Amino acid sequence: MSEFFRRIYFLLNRQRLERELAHDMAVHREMMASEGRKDFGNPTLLREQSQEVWGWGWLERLAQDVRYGLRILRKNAGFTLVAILALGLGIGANTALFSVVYGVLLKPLPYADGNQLVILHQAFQKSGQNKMGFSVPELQDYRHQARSLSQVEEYHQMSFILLDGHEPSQVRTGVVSAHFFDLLGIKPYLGRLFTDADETRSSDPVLVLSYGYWKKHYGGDPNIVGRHFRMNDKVHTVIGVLPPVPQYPRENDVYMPTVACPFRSDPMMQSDRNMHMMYAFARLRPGQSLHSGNADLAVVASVFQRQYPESYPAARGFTSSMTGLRQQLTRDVRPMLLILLGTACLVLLIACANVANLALARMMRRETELAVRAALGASRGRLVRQLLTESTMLSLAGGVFGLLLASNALDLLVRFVARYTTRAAEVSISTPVLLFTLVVSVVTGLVFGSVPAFSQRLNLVNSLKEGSASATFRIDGNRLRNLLAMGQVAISFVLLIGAGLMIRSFIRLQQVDPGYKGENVLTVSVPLNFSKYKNDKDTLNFFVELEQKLKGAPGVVGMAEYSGAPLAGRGLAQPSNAPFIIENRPVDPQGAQPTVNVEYASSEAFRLLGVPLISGRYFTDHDNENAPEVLIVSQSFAKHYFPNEDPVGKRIAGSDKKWSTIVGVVGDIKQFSLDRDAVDTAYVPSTQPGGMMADTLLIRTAGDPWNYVSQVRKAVYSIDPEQPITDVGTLDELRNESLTATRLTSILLALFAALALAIAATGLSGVTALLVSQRTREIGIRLALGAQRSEVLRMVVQQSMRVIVLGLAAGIICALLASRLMTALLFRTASTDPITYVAVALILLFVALVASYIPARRVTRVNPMIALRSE
Amino acid sequence: MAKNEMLPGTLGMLILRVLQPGALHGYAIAQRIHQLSNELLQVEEGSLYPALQRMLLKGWVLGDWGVSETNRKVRFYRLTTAGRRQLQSEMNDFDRVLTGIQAVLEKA
Repeated sequence: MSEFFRRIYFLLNRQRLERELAHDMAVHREMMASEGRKDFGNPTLLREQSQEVWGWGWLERLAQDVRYGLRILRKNAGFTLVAILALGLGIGANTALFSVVYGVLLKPLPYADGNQLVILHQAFQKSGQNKMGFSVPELQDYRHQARSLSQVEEYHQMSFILLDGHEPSQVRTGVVSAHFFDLLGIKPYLGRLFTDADETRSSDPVLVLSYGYWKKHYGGDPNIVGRHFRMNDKVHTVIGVLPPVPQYPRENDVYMPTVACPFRSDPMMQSDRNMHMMYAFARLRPGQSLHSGNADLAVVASVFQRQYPESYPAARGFTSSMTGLRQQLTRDVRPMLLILLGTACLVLLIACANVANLALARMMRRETELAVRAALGASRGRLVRQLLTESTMLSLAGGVFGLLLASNALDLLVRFVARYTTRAAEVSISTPVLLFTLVVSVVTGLVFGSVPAFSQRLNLVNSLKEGSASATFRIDGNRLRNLLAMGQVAISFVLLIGAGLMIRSFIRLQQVDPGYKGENVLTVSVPLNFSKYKNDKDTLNFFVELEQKLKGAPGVVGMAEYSGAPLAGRGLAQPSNAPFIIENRPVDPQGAQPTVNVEYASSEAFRLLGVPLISGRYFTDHDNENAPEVLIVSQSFAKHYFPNEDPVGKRIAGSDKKWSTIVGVVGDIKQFSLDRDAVDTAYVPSTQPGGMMADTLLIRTAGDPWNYVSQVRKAVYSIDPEQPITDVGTLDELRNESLTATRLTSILLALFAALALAIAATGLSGVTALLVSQRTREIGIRLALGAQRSEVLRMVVQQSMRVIVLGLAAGIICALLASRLMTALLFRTASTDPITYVAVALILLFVALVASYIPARRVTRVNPMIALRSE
Repeated sequence: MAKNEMLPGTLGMLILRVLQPGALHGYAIAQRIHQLSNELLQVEEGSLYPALQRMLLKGWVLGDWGVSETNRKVRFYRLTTAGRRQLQSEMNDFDRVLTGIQAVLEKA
């Protein structure tokens, strides 16, 4: 038995051992006495000294402090409740945000050696093509040439039509090379994942389901493996189910090997290195870093340029690079999460200052008690420990309360974060989060506890003599309390500014003119089965038939086809950036090649959307496959490329070198996002080559667009019962949806700011109330000497005003410095926006004044006679 | 150092030494040290019992219930093997230090 276990044994058998020791010592004294000696000391002290050797004294004292603290806290139920509430809100906010930060930003990816996983990027930097994807030959070259990479796998996404079940449905499909999941180190949850055998031309079509899709649509059926799914024109066999892992770049329903994708299998796709379509995932060799990997890719890029100058013209500035998969997964959410966590920290700081202030005020009333304890022999350290024990008990209780709050709020937060990253599903209150909460709680307790514990000199003699707080303590204490109240005002101001700037951004964003009139426009995507509708003609015929069925139906005001509803796709949609040349305009071999976003629109589309015609004409039904090819361009396109002339009548051509004539210029549409400038766009008529891209139906209705959905669905099924409709919504909803992230961030920041303001306001009230009660006697004298009550009231309010104004000044300085961190989240709003600052300052002043005026009014009720007799 | 007080750090060794011939109770330990030192050394209760607690914790001594010469039930402390080893090493250390001190005192 080692000493450690013996110590534990002593602790567990403490009572018996104490009795035995006391007995031994008693016998000892008897024996001394029988020999006539009486020189033994204080028996209790001696026994305690002996027991001290066991090493459990601190525990005994802690238990004592806790028992005593509990009694004190129970006696001051009001203070205890307010403190737990304030600390709980602060700790809860931090716990919730930390659990998100941990799950999304800090936790390693749930893949094997996640830190070695990278995403490759290729770009033509000089022509602004930053996200261009990889072609099949390029992927092969990377496999052979990039020495820093041990494995390169490909991914692209498709939509297939699943024909089982009650209604045909669209499934989001990830198309991956055979060892894609091996690269990530993912083991199947059920069945197996892909092998080389699945990737040969002759192999049977197979399918792997994502965990979420399997759970949601098949109820987690354990017998799913071996089931057959009819998708497009083939029957696929389910071979496995993925475990719940985050997916990038999006969550897919199912995965297929590359041979299953008809586009990817096209011989041209296999051989043409300009068909940039795939994502490239790779694994760094052991010992390689992002830095050395990027250097390696730069070498590969220069080899490409030398070998294939036609594919990578020097003028377009070809580059190749990589980023870590983890960074890539969380890139969009990081700045916002950090700002929210910072905000939550500030809320906790305010709560700390507030509770410290309450505790300080309470200390005054406890001075006598502490003095008595000190007089009876308690050391100063012991008293400090007692106070810190009490504050830590409070903050631990606050932590428990906060944990409850956090676990309730977490769901909401996760849904919010899921808009930005597929890692959101990994967020939970895990062991590290619990540890974080514990540490934060204890530190909080020590921080706010040490303010009252160390703030005073415990001038015990005076306290005993006067039976009340000493004068010096009052002055010191007041100064400290005012400082704490000032700090609360300052931090609230910073938080209010954050919320204010965000709200202002949101309003600005809401006021942005999208360039079209979206009221009562229903949008329905009809992703035609590409195995059945193989060309533009098939597609056109389908939509002509659909229009015939729906046109003239009551309530249908207008119909058009378009290549994608504006602001759809939750900000994930990207402009197509097609390179083009302008007729009779020399191409600058050194300059960047111009690119344009291409959309496809039927003749009615612009009229239906209310997009104004600037010059030329709209499309007509005569712009068909037999007529010369025409284009309509956006206003921004016209301004960029034809600044001083009318583009109507000019011709441009894409990479296929086929000339199209510009016949009209229309107003700009915010196709991808409200917060960026409209992209230069060229519109191709849906009746000419490429028109099969126009597969989104826009229907302007007389009433609520949602009333027409079933009608549209019926019409589609009557033409092709195996054709699903997807992405049903209205243009107004899409626009609102695109604002959701900003709206939610504003709401969260506003919530934190309101919380901070409320805490700070109660803090100010408390300070003023204390001030009044301390000065009751003085106020009584003033009144007795003839001062007006209003004058006295003004005097008290003025004193609080000083605290408020100084706090406000400090807050303005801090906010000017801190709000710069928010720039990335703001839209057309300077981080120093004067209107926000003035408005927030006024709100804060008003709330602070009310908060201090209410307790200050008590001076008007002071009765001079009673006040003079008190104390 | 006041009269009758112990050289610091030597009390433990003395206790272990007087227990070597056989188990003793607390008071007897103090008495024995007093007598053997020709009444030069006095062990205070305030040092004896903390020292004994430390030894119990270290596992150098064990306490067994017995009956004293005055017919009281009392604990007799006896050396364990570890205690004997400890005594030996403390005595060796003490000898070495003492030799050193004497050498300095004679030669300086």
